[in-house]
Amino acid sequence: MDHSSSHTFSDNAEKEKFAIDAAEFPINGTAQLPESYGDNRLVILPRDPHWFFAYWEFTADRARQLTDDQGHPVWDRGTLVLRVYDLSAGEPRGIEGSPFFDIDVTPREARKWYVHVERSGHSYLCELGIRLPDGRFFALLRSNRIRLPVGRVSDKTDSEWMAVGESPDQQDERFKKLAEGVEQINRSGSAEFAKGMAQRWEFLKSVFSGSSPALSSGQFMASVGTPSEEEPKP
Amino acid sequence: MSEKGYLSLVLHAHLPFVRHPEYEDFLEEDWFYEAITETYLPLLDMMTRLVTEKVRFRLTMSLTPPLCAMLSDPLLQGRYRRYLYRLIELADREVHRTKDQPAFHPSAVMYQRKLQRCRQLYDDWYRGNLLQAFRQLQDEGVLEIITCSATHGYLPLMTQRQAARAQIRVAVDDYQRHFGRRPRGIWLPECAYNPGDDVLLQENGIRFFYLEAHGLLYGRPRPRFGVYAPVYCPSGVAAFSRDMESAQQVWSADTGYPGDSRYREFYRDVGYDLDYEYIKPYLHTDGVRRNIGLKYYKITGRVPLNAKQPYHPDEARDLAATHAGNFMFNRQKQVEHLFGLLKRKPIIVSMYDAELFGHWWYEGPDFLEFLFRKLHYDQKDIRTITPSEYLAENPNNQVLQPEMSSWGDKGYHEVWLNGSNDWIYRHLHKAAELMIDLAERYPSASGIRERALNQAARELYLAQSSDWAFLMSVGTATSYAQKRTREHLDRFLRLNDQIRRDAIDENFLAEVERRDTIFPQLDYRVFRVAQRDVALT
Repeated sequence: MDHSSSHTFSDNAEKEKFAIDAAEFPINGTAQLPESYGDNRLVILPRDPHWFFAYWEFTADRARQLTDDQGHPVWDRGTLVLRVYDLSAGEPRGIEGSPFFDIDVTPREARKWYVHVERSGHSYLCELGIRLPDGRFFALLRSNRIRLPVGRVSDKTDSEWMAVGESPDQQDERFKKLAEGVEQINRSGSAEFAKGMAQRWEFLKSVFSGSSPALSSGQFMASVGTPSEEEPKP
Repeated sequence: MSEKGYLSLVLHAHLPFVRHPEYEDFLEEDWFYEAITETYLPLLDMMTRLVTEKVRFRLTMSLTPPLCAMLSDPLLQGRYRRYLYRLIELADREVHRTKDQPAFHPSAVMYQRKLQRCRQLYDDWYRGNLLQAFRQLQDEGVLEIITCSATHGYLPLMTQRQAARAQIRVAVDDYQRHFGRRPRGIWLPECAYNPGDDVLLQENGIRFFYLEAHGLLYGRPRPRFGVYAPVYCPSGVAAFSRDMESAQQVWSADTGYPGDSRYREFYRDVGYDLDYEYIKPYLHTDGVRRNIGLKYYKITGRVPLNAKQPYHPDEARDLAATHAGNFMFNRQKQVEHLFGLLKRKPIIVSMYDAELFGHWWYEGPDFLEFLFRKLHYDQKDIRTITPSEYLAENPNNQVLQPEMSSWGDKGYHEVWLNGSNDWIYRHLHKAAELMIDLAERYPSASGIRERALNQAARELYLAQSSDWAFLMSVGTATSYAQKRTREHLDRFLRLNDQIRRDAIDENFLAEVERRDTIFPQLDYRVFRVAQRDVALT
């Protein structure tokens, strides 16, 4: 986004507003949220057919208490990994025997990750833990379970709702016609429209040549018609 | 009836709850005043006119709880009047200023007329109570109003189902309060759906919701009629899904109707164009130039801002009529084709944000009015219908499990879950967990503790508004969105802490109650896992 000379003016106005505010009310306008909540948890959220998001936090105690069968701590002896278990699509199944893959968490201080999976439509569960050089894995945290969408037309057809006298091929043909343009779907929604407006705004700014006294590129802050970053936020 | 198919137009009217009593004059409140002036009042005006002239039409609108809260808030009603009167004053001056400028004078006259009409509607007809106006149209049978989750919370990313349930429950109660009955349908925020969300709807007596096209098309088993008939989820709740053809014709900022060169250009505004001393009284108190809402130029084409040509209201209005005719013609062709293909009358569901009509696309309400008139007078193939009417007439529908989806960019959750906003979720989830625990721990609180618990719930709801994540993603008003998220979470955490330590700061509580006023009847017990029906007052 552009910065402009009007920025200083609006900065002062903004500060003034905060000054009044702080004096009158006990509410602080610059709230800080906790770095962590002292929990031990790993949460995964579905994002789309091939991606999910993981975040976690754990206490130093929990890390220290992670030990092998001899009771020796493992925290410093291995790699921190996010182990992703691929649970078969739809079937209620534990992680025993489920295929998995590991993601090395680097840097170790990371507390979130976007995980990519090859197969859509499957269920997933994660563990965060230490994998020793000899391959043994010790789980620190276990996540909830999610299922990602398939991202394509189902192969299951519905016998109850078949048209009378229609062959399977004819059914397929008909469905294809109905599903035409589904790939276009993501081009028509409010976010796409907002982006379209913002892009049009960028275009207008970029071809802007010469200006009347009242206009200057720095003052055109309103992308998609709502206040931009540079406008003062009271 | 002799029609070959149905058209169900759905407008989703939503704004995030923005109300800042701590400031005399707050920029983001303008979103609300602009929407009233350019979208809600024109739509109400249109519907009332059609009813009076006995033009048959059906429209479905979602009015979200935050929007309803703002529309019925006395502080914001007063501020809207102030906004409108100032704008009328400016319009009057503009008529005078442009009296010898034939290129601009017709536009100035148009604004004066339209703003006066707004004042007449808002003050004289509706007396500031727009919800009552919407309700009357629903009671007339021409408009079906559906609800939306309490603060437009993004349900698929709420890992605690109780939090999602609480968003629905409060929405249903709030709807009952405003409209005198329970809602039959809901607009899921962003049409964001995760399998199982429909169960929460069914628990609250909601009979239908909406899905983006692929939510249905990728469902299991395959939908027999594509998106052209609703289906029942295994829970029994019906799902309608979007027609892409009619969506494209309107939504596309490049190739859709709104991008036509003769329509009004959004980015040439008197707030920037006119002499500073002249326009300054109509800007905010900080004196920074920004959009005021009066615009004199048309899109013209892909030309720089300073090459835009003057806007001609009549030309633009005629164009809206042409586009309405074109839209109707396309729907007729579509219905005829689908009827042959499906051997069943298709329902074409055309879903849009309400604010597209009037605010982004200035001539949008004209387009809609022309469309309804043409549908009524000029053809018989298509009948406009509400979802409740459709289900009453067509109760026999396929059962299938829709797929996870949204109408956001790329069709899933990425807009609300990416590098710009993923930081919020650990805090939202923690806050939800704490709130559920508070509700369980203090099931029968009273006095100041009950107030604190209710306010904590309010803060959580406001933090959960998906608008903040959206704004962070699109990169607009980002710091405002971040600030709102942090502030509501901070207020929640402080209240949570004070309640648990039995050390509630009464001044602090009173101050947040004064500022964050949504859902005055809210009962924090809605977060309890063991649900007992909470009586409405």
